[in-house]
Amino acid sequence: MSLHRLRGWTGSANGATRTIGATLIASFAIWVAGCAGGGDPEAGSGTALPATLPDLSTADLFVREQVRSQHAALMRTVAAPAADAAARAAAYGDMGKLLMAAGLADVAEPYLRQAQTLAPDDARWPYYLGHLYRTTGALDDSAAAFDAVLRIRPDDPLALLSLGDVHLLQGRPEAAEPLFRAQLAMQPDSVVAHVGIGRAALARNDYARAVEFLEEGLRLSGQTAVGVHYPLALAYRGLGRLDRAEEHMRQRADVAILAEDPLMEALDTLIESPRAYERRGNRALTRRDWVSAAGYFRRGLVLEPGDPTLRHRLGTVLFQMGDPGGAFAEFERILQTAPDFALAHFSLGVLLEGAGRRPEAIERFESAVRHEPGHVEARLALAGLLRRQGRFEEALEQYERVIEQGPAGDPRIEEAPFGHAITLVRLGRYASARDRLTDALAMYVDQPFFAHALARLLSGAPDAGVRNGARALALLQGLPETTQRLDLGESMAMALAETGRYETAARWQRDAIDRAAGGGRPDLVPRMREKLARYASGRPWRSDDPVEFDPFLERSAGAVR
Amino acid sequence: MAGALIVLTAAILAGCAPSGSSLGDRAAAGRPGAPGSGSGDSGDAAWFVDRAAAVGLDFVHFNGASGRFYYPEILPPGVGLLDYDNDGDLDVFLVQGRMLDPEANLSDALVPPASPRPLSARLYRNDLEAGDDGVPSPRFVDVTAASGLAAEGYGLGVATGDVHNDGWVDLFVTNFGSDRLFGNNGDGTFTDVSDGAGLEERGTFGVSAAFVDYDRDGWLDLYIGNNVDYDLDDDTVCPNAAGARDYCPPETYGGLPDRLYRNRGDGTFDDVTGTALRHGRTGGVTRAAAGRYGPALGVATADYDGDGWPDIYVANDGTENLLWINQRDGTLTDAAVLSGAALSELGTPEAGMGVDAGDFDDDGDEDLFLTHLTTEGNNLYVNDGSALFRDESAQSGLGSGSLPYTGWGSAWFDFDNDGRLDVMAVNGTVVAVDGRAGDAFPYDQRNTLFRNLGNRRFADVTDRAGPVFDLSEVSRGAAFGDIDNDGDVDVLVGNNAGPVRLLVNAVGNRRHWVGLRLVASANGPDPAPGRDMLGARVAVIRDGEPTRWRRARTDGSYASASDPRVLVGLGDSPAAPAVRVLWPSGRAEVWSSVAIDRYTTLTEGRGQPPPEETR
Repeated sequence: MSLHRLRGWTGSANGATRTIGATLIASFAIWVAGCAGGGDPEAGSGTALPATLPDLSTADLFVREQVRSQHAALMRTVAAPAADAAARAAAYGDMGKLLMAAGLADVAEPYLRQAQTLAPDDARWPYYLGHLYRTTGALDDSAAAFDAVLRIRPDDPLALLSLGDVHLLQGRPEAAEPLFRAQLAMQPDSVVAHVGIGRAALARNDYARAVEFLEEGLRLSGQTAVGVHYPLALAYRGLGRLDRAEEHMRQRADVAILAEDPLMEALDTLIESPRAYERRGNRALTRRDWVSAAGYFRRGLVLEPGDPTLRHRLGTVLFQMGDPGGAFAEFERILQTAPDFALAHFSLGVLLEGAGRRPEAIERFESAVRHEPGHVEARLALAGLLRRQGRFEEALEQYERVIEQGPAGDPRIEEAPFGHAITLVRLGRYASARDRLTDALAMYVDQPFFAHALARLLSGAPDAGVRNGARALALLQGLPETTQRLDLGESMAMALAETGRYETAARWQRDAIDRAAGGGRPDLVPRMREKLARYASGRPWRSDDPVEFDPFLERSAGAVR
Repeated sequence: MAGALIVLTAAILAGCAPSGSSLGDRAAAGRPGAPGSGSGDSGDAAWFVDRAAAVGLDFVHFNGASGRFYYPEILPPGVGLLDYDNDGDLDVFLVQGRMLDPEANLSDALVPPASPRPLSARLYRNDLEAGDDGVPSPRFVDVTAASGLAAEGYGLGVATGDVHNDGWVDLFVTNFGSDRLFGNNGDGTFTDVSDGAGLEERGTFGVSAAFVDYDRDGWLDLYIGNNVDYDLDDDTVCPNAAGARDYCPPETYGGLPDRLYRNRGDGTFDDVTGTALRHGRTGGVTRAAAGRYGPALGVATADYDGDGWPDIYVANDGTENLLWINQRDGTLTDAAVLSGAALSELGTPEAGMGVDAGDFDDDGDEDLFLTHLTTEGNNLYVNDGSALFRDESAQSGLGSGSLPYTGWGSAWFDFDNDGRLDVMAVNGTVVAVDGRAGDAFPYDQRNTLFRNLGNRRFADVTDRAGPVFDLSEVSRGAAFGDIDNDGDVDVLVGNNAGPVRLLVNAVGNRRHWVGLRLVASANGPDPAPGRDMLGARVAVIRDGEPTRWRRARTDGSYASASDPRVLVGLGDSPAAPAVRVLWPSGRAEVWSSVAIDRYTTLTEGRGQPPPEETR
C-alpha cells in the first residue's frame, strides 16, 4: 500500500472546504517521483523530486532552514556531473532522513525510495523505509522493506527483530517467531528476541511457552525489562495463576523493550532546533540523565536564548544536579525577559523557601498566582507557607481558592482540603476541621490518609463535641492493610483510649513504640511514651497540636511497615 | 479544476497500483446482491449513500478555531439519534461549537460558520414519509426554536435516556463548561432542568456520558466521562517535530475525575462518585495514580461479567481504561487492569476514544472494540464471559487495518444483516496532516468499515462501501440507528468543522431482520409507551443458527447517542425466531415467535417466563 492510499484526497464538499488543489498537485508530483523510482533512477532524481518540498510555513524557522539547506545540498549533488550513484543515493537518503526526523513521513518516503533505487545494496534505505511505513501503519510495506534489508544482510539483527515485530502487529505470530529464533541463534542472551518469542506464544494462547520466554527475557535483562511484566501477567492469568499475574501486574511499567539501534538513534539527533533540543532534554530528564539534559537545554538556548521554557528546564536540571545557585540564576534570568512567566516565580519561591527565606518565597508564590491564577502548585505552596508562618486566615483563603477552582476529587489538589483542615485545627475550629475532612473523605474515597487524619481528630481533639472514639475506631479498622504504619498503631491507641479501653490502648501504644524504635525513628519515642503514660494512668490523649492529626508528616518522614 | 485533478489523480493512482406494534411495519424490498452473499456482490451499488443534505440535514459544525489551539476544539462533535416525539422514527440532535476565545470574532475563525443561523445545538424532527416507490424516506425539519432547546455552550456530546420514567426521552448535553440536562415535556418541547438537578454546576469537561440503571432501582442513573483539567488561559505550546504548533496531548493538562449520579426518582440526582466508585482493590492490583482519573472519551455500559448487573467501561485518552464492575451493593469496583482491557498488548496506555460493546463472536458475552490514535491501531478485546479479556486486535485484522487512522465514533453493527456484528470507525487526526500548512484544519481522514468474516477475523471493506467512504473529513461522533425504519442500520456522522453526514444503508434490508423495541410497561394515562429499557439483553434464537445476543443501548461510540432499538440480521432465513429478553430488573421473559422484517415492541411483563423457570 502506498502512502497515498492512506489519504482520501477527495476533500469535503462544503463546510471546512479544503484547499486541495495545491495539495493534489504536490501529491501528484510525489507520485510521479514514486512511480519513476521503479524505472530510470536519473529520470526520477533529476526532475520530479526537487519540486516536492512540503509546505513548511508553520514549522519553526530552524527546521525550515535546515530542510532548505539540505534540499540545496541535494540539488547540488544531483547537478554535479561527477556525482556517482552512491553519492546521489546518499544525498537523497539524507534528505529523506531529515524529513522523516521532522515527522514528515509522506514527504520523506519518495526520497528514501529514490536512495534505495540508486543504491540497491545499501541496507540503510530500506531499513529507514521499514520504520517509516511502520509509523504510518502501512504494515505490508514495512514488512517488504525489512525483507529487502534481509535480502542484503540476512543476519541483520535489527531487521530480524523489526520484521518480527511487524509480523506480530499483522497478527502473524507464526511468521514472527522464526525471525526471533534466528536472532536468538546468533545472540542467545537477546532480551528482545526472548520477549518476541514470548509475545508470539501469547498471541497463540500458548501461555506456558509465553511464560517461559518472557521470564527468561526478564531474567536476562537483570529485571530491568519492566515492560515484560504486563504480557507476563497476562500469560500467568491464562494459566490460571492469578497470584503470579497480580504480582506482575503490580510491577508493570510502560517501557518499550527495544534493542539498541544506531540508525534510528542517529535519526533522532538530526533536527537542530530549540524544540528538538527541548524534547531530547526532556527525554534525558526522564532517564534522570541530568548532565545530558543540561547539555541539550544549553544547546537549545544557544539557538534561542530568550526561550523561557528551555531556560526553566535548564534551571530545574541544575537544581537536580545540586547547583541551586545556578538554578536560581537561570530562573532570575528568565524574569528579565519574561517577567510574567509564572513557573519561574514559582520555582524561585521553592528555592527561597528551601533556603529559609520565607517572606521572599511568599512574594514569589504570590507573583506566580497573580500571573497564572490557575497555577495549583503555586497556590498550594503559598497556602502551606502562609500556614507555617502562622498566617492562618490567609492560608485558609488560598486553600479555599484551590478547592473552589479545582475539579472535585482531583488527586492533584487533595492536599488542599487537608491543609485547610489542619489550618482550622490551628485556629481551634475543630468542628470545621472535622467537617472538611469528612467532605474530603467522601470525595477521595480511596485515599486512606483522610480517614486516618479524621480518626486522630475524633480521638484527640480538645473539643468534646468533636470527639467520637467509636467512629474513630471504625474509620481506622476500615483502612486497608497497605496503610499499616507505625502511626496507625498509635492512632488505634488514641481511639481506644477515647472509648475508655485504656489497657488495650496501652498495648497498641507499646507495640507502636517498639516499631518506631526498631524502624529507625527513635526520635518519635519520647513523645509516644508520654501518651503511653497517660493511657497507663487511665487518661485519654488530648492535643491541640496539628501535628497530631497530620499523617502527612509521618508519611513524609518515612513509613515503617 | 480541483474536481478534474481528483479524477486525474484517482485514475493515475489506480494505474500505479502494484497489483407486536409495528413501527416500520414494512417488509423489506427484494434482496438481490446482499454483500458477501456470493450473488450480486459486485460492488456496483454503493452500500452507504450520504443523504444528509437531500433530506434536510443542513447542519455544519463550527469549532471556533482561531489558531490559538484551544484544546476542546479538536474533540467535537457528538451526534444523537432519538425519537423525541414518540412518533416511531428517529430524530436528530447535533451539538454545536462557538468561538472559545472571548476576544475573538467570528471573522477570526479559521473555518467560518457555514450559515448565519445562531450557533447552538440543533434538533431536527424526522417526518418519515413513503416515497413514490413506497420506500420510506426521512425528511428532516429544524425544530430547534419550537422545541425550546437552548444548548448554546461549547457542545461536545450527547446522551439520551428517559430519566423521569414518563416515556419521553430526555437529553443530556456535555459541554466544555457546564453540562446540561434537558427534560422532555412530551409536547415537542424541552426544558433545561439542570439547575437544581444535583449535577455538577462548576465548569466541567464532559465528553461522553451514559444513562444506566446501575443499582437496578428502575431509574436511569448517569455516568459522565470527563476529559481534562483545561483552562482557556493555559497557553502551553506543543510543537510537532517540525516545530509547528499543534494541539497538545491530554497529558499536558491531566485528567478530570468522572462522575456517577444516582437518580433519586424525583428529577434530581445524588453525586455518588465518592461512595459508589471504588478504585484499585480488585485482586489486590492497585492502579497507577495517574490512571485513577483518566481523560475519558468513551463510555459503554453493559453486563461484562454476566451477573445480570450493568457494568461501566470507560475509554481513557492516554491512560489506563476503566472497567467498573458492579458489586451489586450500590458500588462498582474498577477491575480494568487485571481484566486485560485497560492497556495495549504490551501494557501501554493508548488513546482510547470511541468504544462499543457487542457479542461479535456469538458466545453470549460482551466484547469490546476501541478506537485509538494513528499507529496504535484499534483494539478488539474478546471477553471470556467473566470480564476477562484477550487482546485479539492483531489476529482479527482490526488492529493492523486501523493503524493509519485515528478513530473516534464506532459501533458494532450488522450492516449487511448477515447476523454477524461488523464494525465501523469514523476517523480524523489530532495532529495536523504533514505538509498541509496552508489548509485551515488539516486533520481529515477517511472513515473505515470492517466486515465480520465469522472466524474471529475481519475484512476491511471500506473501498467497497461507497463514495461517501472516500471522503476525507475530520469525523468525530457517530450514531447508529435505522433512520428510515427500513430494517437496516444507518449511520449519522458528526464532522468537526464540517457538514453532518447521514450514511443511509442501501444493502442491509436485502436480507431478513427482526426489529425490537424493549420498553417498560407504561404507567398511568399518558399515551407514551414505557421507557426504553436500556441495558436489556436480547437473545434471538433459531434452530440451526447461532443465538444472536444484542442489547438495548444508546451509549457507546464517541460522545454520541444511538437508536435504543435492537435490530438483528437474520441472513437469508425467513424463519421467525424466538426471543428471550433479560430485563435490567433481572427478570427473564420469552416470546416464542416474533415477526420478521418489521419492528415489534416487547413490553416487560408481557412475555412468558422462560421454560426453565416454569418447570
